[in-house]
Order: sequence, then structure tokens, then C-alpha cells
Amino acid sequence: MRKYEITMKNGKESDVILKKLGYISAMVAVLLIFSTLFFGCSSKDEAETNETKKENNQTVSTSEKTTEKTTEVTEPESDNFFDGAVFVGDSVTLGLKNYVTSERNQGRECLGNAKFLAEGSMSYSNTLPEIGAKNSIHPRYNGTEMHIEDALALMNANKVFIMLGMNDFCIYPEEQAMANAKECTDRIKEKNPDIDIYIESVTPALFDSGKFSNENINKFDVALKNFCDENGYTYVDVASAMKDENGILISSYCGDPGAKGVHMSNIGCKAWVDYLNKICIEEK
Amino acid sequence: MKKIVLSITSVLMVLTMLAACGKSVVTDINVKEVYQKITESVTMPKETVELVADDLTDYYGIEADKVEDFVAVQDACGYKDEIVIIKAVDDASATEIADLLNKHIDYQKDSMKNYDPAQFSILGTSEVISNGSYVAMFISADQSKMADIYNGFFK
Repeated sequence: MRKYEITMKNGKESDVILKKLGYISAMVAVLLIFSTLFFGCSSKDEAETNETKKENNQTVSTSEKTTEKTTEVTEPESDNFFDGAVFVGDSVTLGLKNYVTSERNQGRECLGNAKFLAEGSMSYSNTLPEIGAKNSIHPRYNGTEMHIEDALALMNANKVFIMLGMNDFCIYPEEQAMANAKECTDRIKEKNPDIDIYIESVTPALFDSGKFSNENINKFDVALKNFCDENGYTYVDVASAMKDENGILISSYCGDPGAKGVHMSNIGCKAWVDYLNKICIEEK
Repeated sequence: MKKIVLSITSVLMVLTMLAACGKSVVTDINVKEVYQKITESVTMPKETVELVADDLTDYYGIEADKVEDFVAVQDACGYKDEIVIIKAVDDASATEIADLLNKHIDYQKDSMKNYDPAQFSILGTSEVISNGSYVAMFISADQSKMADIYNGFFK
């Protein structure tokens, strides 16, 4: 009896042990399954079949389909008249900047290595106040807002081409606008004594809009030319290359015919660049 | 014992599932594919300019060494539509880039406030979207649609 009892007792103990082992095994199995799912779901795909590696390729486009170049675009090494030049202006000059950027990114030489300080709505007047002042607009150099003269110094500019005024003459009387232009150029000269200053005429509009009319643009351009004569700056009559026989912006040169009618299309920008090359290089 | 084991197992299952669900499921996104999808879905400006790495510094103050891959396209006109999609080298760089793009939007708002009310209105709803090391900025009348397409790549 006792032997049987011992056997029975040992059997029961074995059963208990087996059951415990069973439970533990089941728990471990569940843990393993969920660990596999967890790490499997959260780890990245090492194959990275979709990732584009960092490349030195240039991707360019105009209005056509994007194509990729395989060679790195570098600034053309040339003794170009526009090397070291900076173009300062408002949104019209922003359009020129984008055109020049596009040309260079496609491997075509365009205005040497000239750089740009252009911001929408900038004027001789609103660029004078301190940085951060209400209603002031200052260009950005590498993302940082600064006065024109300070940016030119940092850029080691040897020439500056300024096309401002479109956002001046509609707001201020001509006398005030020209006084602001003088203040602006005086500051540039003071900070950059060796810089050559070129004043570009305000370009024509496709249509008149209130005070912003081709008649007023022409009046302001005459004032700019006189200003240049009085101060020893070079007047660059870009507007002359943009007008049709009626004195308005050549329609194909206009990039926003349904909006303000003053910004240039790529064709207009090309004409602008061609004129600058003609006046500043070919006819010198 | 059985109940204890079952209880512990259940708790572990729930915790594991929650942890797995909380982790990012962002896989590698091809930024050029995203841009391509956008161009197929919205009306793009008639003339555009596509920026290269050095242009990112010039236009936005973004240093090229913080960028692993990108697409940046602007309306050639100069102050209208902008599409920027960047994969930064790491999350910290992505944060810096997002800050710079937000500053750009603020700057553009100041410029356009009195100059172009319609563009100012568009800028008012423009935003910078961050997903880990990816940053995107859309300035366009179609920016909502662009953002939806972009966000769709992260689901």
C-alpha cells in the first residue's frame, strides 16, 4: 500500500511538474512569436530598393519632362564681365534669377557667376529701415536677412546691377523715391567703395493698372537716368529691349499676362540677358 | 497557476502589440517619385525651375551637407508656387531644415502682404510637414492636394 502510495505520489508530482513545464514552454513560445513579429515589423528594410542614394547628379527641368544629368554642374570658369556681379531687385529680378539658375543647371553659361539679391515687393524705400522694422523688406543672403550693402560686402561684389523702383513710384512722389534711391546707393558705396553701380531701368508692363502705368514707368526711368548722370552711375536701359512698337511689354516676354503683367517669361528673361551681354560686353 | 500564466501571457501580448504599433512605419521614400506623382495630379506652373544642392543654400539657407536627397521646384516667375521635398541626413537636420522652411514662409508672407494679396492668402495656409528625416513644404493653390499625396507615401 505504501509502495503504491509512494508511486501514486511520485506520479502526481510528475504530472504537476509536467504541467508546469508545459505552461512555461507555452509562455516562452508566445514570447518568441511576438518578439519576432515586433522586431520584424519595426525594422527597416535593409534592401532599400526604393531609396535614391545621395548623388551628385543634377536634375533639371523647364516646362518639359524632367531629365537627369550625370555630371556635376560647376560654375563656368571664364573671365566673364559679370563674374563678381550681383543683381539686386524685386520680383521681376527674381524671375531673372530663376531663369539664370535654370540655364546654369542645364550646363549653359549665363551671366558668368553673377549672383542675386532679389525679393518680391522690395523697393529703394522699404529696404532702408532696420531689419525687422514694420513693412521693411530686405534681401536674404544664404537665408539670412540683411541690408543690401552688407550682403554685397559678404559676397565680395565688384559690380551691382540694381532694378528697383516698381514698388516705389506707385507709393511715393518721384522726388521722395529718388531721395530713397540715393540713400540706398550711398550706403552701398560707403560699405563697398570699389563697387561699380549700374542702375537698370524699370521694365514695361503688359497693361496699365492705376498708378502703375507705362507712362509713369517711363517718367520714373527718365528720373533714374538723370540720377545716374548726376552720381556717376551707369544707366542700363533694359526697358528699351522689352517694349513693342506701342511702348508696352512685348506680349511673349510676359510671364503673368493674367495677373500683374510685369514679370518676365523665360523668353523675356533671355531677351534681358541678351541685352545685358550686348551692352556690357559686345559694345564695350 | 494556469490563470496566472494566462494572465501574464495576455499582458505581454498587449504590451508587445502596443509597442510595435507605436513604432514608426516610415520606410524609405523616393522623393522624386513623390514629386512625379504630384506633377501628375495637379496643374503645374507653365515654366518652372528645379534647384540643385547649392541653390538650397542660396534660396533657403539650407546647407547641402544636411540633405541626403531632395526635389525643390519653383515657379519660374519668381514668387509663386514652390515645392520642396527633402530627405535629411538625420532627424536633427530635418528639424533644422523645417525651421528654415517655416522662416521662409514667414518671410514670403511679409513680402506678399501688400504686394499680392492672393499669394499672401496662399501662404497663409502653407505649412511645413515633417516625418522623421523627411521634410516637405508646399506653396501653391493646390497645396492641400500636394500634402495629401506626400502624406500618402507614409501610410
